[in-house]
Amino acid sequence: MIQGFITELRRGTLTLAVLSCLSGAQYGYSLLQEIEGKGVRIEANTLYPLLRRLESQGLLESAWDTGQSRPRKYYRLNNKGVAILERLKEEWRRMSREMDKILREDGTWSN
Amino acid sequence: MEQLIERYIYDVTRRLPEREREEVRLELMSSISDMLPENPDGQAVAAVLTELGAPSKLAEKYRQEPRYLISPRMYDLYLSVLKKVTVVMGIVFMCVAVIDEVLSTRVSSENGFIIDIISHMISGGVEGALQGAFWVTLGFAIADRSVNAREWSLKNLPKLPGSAARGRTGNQMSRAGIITSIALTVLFTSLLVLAIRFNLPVFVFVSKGVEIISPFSQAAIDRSIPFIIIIAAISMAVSCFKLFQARWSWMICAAVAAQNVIMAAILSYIVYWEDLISAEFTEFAKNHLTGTRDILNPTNAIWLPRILAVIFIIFAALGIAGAIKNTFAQEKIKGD
Repeated sequence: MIQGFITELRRGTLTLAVLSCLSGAQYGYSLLQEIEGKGVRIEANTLYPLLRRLESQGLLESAWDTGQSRPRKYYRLNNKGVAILERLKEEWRRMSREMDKILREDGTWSN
Repeated sequence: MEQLIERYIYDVTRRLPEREREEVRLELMSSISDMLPENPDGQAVAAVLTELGAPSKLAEKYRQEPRYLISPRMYDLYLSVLKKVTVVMGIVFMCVAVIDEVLSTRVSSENGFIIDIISHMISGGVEGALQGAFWVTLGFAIADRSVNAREWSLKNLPKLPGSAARGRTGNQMSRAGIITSIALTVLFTSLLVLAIRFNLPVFVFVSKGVEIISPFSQAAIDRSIPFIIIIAAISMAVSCFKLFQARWSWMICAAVAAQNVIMAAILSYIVYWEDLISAEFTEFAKNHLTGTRDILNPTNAIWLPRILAVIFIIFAALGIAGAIKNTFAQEKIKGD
């Protein structure tokens, strides 16, 4: 049961993590490695569909690079994506301040 | 090993809308290749595919359109309409099937005509309910995709259904009970009419040897058909009214009262028919029922219609009193 709550809690933060790594163009696997390199757990089967969804929502632009040994699809933020990322960052900071405050006060019942 | 990857990707893309399949296929192909080492062996492929997980789950994540026939915003309305329509269609189809059967000439023997009617009621009822469910579902599925959500406003809030506000159910009528009574009305009325049409001895109280004596004369029985149908129709109408209101109210109370009065009037009228009792039965009674206190003794029989009429009136009065009592109880809860 706890896993369901955790998944729910992480869902929105993953979007933010993905957007914040896409100022430069990245393909799926490189992005996966970068995000994991920063210590954020994300699964491949979550990331790839998420990229497509963000693209269809108009936050990302994509292009196929067929020049290399194998074709790769590169994603990056477009102007709308940059604007939305800024708003989300602000919101995230505000929320984490508020949550910290709430969680620090939660000792009321524990004694 | 290529085959395994192709098969995995196919299992994902076949669950997606056609226009997205090719793009997702290419993307997955590229991403899986990136995840594999140079010159991968079977184990490496298996590990990557296992990491990606069940194709159906991956496809679900790729799918952007919601996957339901009736969306949550319509679901409550859908359920309530579905319930009403299936019940009404079931009843209507049941009646139509039975009326069709009664009017047809297919039934001609007394053997099995009860089973025949019951099986027509069941198949008619089931067919009607299925038809109702199908068309309601289809209608909602289409409406769900074409109608935009209305802005809600305070004005649209529904009125409280009386007692529900206080968490009490009140004396709700039982749906199952009402539907059962409708089904029984249809069953008995059609059996009666059918039996009369084919001169089957329905009212056999007395049989001596092989000879069967019907206490009612054929002329009276024939004449009673329209009255039987009127009584059935009125009780069906009142039952349907109850079904939709689901709670006692003065309107329903009035309908039930009217039903009782009309039924008592019709039955009292019929028992006063001079030719109601058949000649054979009178003859039979003369010879066998000679006790002075026996109500069927012809010398006492003059009292019979009056006594029956009084009984009908008492039953009607009890029915009306019950309806008033229930309505009072309901209104009291509402008024608290």
